[in-house]
Amino acid sequence: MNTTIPLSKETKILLFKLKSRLEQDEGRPINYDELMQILLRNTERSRPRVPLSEFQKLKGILSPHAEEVYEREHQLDLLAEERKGE
Amino acid sequence: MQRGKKRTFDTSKSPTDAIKEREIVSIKNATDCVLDAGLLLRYFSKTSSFLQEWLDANFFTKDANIMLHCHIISRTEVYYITCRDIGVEEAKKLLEKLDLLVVVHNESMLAEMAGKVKCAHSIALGDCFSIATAQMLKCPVLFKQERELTKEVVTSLQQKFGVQAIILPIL
Repeated sequence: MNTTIPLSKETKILLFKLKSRLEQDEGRPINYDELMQILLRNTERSRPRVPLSEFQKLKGILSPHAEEVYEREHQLDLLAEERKGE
Repeated sequence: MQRGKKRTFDTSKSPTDAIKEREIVSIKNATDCVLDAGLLLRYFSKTSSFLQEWLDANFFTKDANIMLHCHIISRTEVYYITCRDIGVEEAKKLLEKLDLLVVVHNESMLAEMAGKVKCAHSIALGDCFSIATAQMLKCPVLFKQERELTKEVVTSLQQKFGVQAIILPIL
C-alpha cells in the first residue's frame, strides 16, 4: 500500500540529491521507499546506546505496591475497553 | 553494538517449562525484541522474581547484542505507575534512562495494526500496541504472565498476525 507524506520543497530536494548519490554508489536505481528504509536503519544504528546491563541498575526501584496498582489499572482498562466494544 | 551475532542463553534457571526451548531458540536468534510495560514494571519492582533473573541472565547483559523496543503506550504506563509510586521526578529520571536502552515506537500505522489485534482478542489495548510493534518489526514480544494472555491467545497471535508472544512466568 502506498502512502503520501507531505514534504517541504527543501526536504524533497535534499532527499533527491541523496537518492542520486546512493544510486551512483550502488550502481542501481533506488526508490524513495528504499531510501527511507536506509535512512531509518542508519538513524537507529547511530542512536547513542548504552549496554543493556544498565537495566540492572533499575531493578528494585519500585515498591511491590506499584505492580499491584498496575495490575488493577490494567484490568480496569481492559474491562472498560471491552464494555465500549460491546 | 554488534548485532545479529548469536547469543548464549542460560536456560538452567528456569523453574518451570513455561518458556519452551523452541521459544528460547527463537529469541536467541532474534536481533530485535519488543518489551511490554507489565514486564518492565515487574523487572523494576523490589519483588525478586524468576522474571528478573531470567532477563538479567539473557537480555540485560553487558555484551547483549539485541535491540530492545517498546511502544509509547508502554512508556506511558511505566511513567504513570512510577510517578504514583515514587513521584514525578523519579518517573522522569527513569524514562530518561529507559530511552537510552529501548527504542520507543509511535508510528501511526501501528494504530490500525493494534486495532486489528484488539478486534480479534479481548486483551488490553496497551498489549495490542506491543503486539502491533512486534508485527511491524517482525520480532518476538515479551510479556509477563497475565491472565488474559492464555495459551489460546498466544497461538492465535502467531496464526493471525505472525507474532511470537513469549510469556515469562512471574514466579
